[in-house]
Amino acid sequence: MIRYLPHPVPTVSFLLCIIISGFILTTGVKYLLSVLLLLFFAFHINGKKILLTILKIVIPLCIAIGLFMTFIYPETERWVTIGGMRLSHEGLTAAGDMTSRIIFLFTGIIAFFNLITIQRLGSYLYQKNLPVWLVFILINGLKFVDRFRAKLNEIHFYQQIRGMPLENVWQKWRATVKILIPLLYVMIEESSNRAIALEMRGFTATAQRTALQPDIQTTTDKLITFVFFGFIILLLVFGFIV
Amino acid sequence: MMNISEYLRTNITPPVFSLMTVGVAVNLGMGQVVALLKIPLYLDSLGTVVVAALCGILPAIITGIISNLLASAVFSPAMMFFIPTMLVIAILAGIFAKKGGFLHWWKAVLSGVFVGICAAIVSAPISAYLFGGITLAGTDFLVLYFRATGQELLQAVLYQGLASDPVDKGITFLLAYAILSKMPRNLLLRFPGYHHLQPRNQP
Repeated sequence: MIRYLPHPVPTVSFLLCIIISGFILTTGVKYLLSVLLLLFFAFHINGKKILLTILKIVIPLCIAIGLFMTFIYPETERWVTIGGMRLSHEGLTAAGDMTSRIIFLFTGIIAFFNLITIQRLGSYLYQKNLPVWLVFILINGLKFVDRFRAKLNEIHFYQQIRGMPLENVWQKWRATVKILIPLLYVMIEESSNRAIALEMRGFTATAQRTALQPDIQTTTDKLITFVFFGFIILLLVFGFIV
Repeated sequence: MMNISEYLRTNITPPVFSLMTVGVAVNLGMGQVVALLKIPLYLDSLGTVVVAALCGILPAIITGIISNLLASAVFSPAMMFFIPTMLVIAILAGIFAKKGGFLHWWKAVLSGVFVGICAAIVSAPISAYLFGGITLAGTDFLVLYFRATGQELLQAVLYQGLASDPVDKGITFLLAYAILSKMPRNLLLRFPGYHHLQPRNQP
C-alpha cells in the first residue's frame, strides 16, 4: 500500500481533470477509467470507505436511472428484447452515457475528498494569504455541523421534557421555530467567541503569514500537477476541436 | 470605487463570518431537524436565507458555495453540481431582504415562492442532463409521472421542480422570518442587515 498523500495543488488539479473528463470522454472510456480509479484508490487510500459510499449512493442512483431510461423513454423509436424484457434502444444508450458519467464523476469526487482533508486545504489556503474568514468558515463549517447536531438533540430533549406537542402540522411548525431560535442563538454566540479569539491572536493581520510546518510542494507534486493540466489541455483540444 | 477585496475586508467582520459559519452548519444540519420532527421538506437553504437577510448578498453567496462543497464531502457528491441553484437563492434572498421581504410573513412567503420558481428553473437543466432527472429524492415519482405523460426530460424535471421547490422555499423563507422576528434585538444589532428587518418609521 502506497502512503503518499499529495499536496492540495495536485489534488485540486485532479478534481478539475475529473470534472472536465466527465463531460468530454466517451461512455466506454469513462466506465473503464472509473474501474481503474476505484482499483487505484482501493490500494492507495481508504478503498473500503470509497466502495461503501459508491454502494450506498452511486449504485442505487445508477440502477434507478437505468430502469427509468430503459422502460420509460417517450422518445423511443427502436425497441430491443433482452431476457424477455422489451427495452428502449435510445433509453439504453442514454442510460449508459448518464450512468458512466455519474460513476466516473462521483468516484473522482469521493476520491478527492478522501485524498485531502478540509483542515489541510484550509491550512494551505491560510498560508497562501487567503482571507482568514474564508479559512475559518471552511474549517469550522464541518465542526459546527457536529456541534449543531449535539445542541439540536439537547434542545429537542429538553423541549420534550417540557411537554412540547408534536402531533399535527401546526404543532410541528411551532416546535421547529422553538427549537431553531435557541439553537441559532447559542451557535452564533459560540462562533462569535471563536472569531473574536482569532482576531485577538492576530489571525486577521494583513502581514505575511508564517506556519510551523509550511505546506511545500515536492517534485512529485509538481510533476503530478503538470500531468493533470497537460491532460486537461489535451482533452479540451481533442474534445472540442477535433 | 471600492474593489472586491477591499469590500470583503471591510464588510466581512467577525460577527458576519461567525454567522456565515453558523449558516453553513444550518444548511448542512437541517436534514436532521427535518428528520427529527418528521417534516416532508428539505429546508437545506435556511442558513443561506438567514445570512442573506442579516448580512447581504455576498456573504450569502459564499455561505451557499461552501455549504454545497462541504455537503459533497459529507453527504453526496451530487451537491457540488447544484452550486448555481444556491447562488440564485442567495442573490434573490439578499435582494428581497433589502426590499423589505422579511418585514411581514406574507411578504416572506411570496419572496420564497418566487425564489423557489427561479431555483427550479436553474436546477432543472443540471438535474436533467447530469442525472436524467433522478436524484433519489421523494419527488422522483413526479418526474416519472411527467415523463410517462410524454413530456421531454427537461420539461418533466422543470415541472417537478415547479411543483416542489416553491413550497419548500416558501416555507424556508417563512421559517427565516419567524426566526428573525423572534431573535433577541441585541443579537441582530451586530449585523449590517438589521435595519432592513425594521419598518422605516422605527429606529
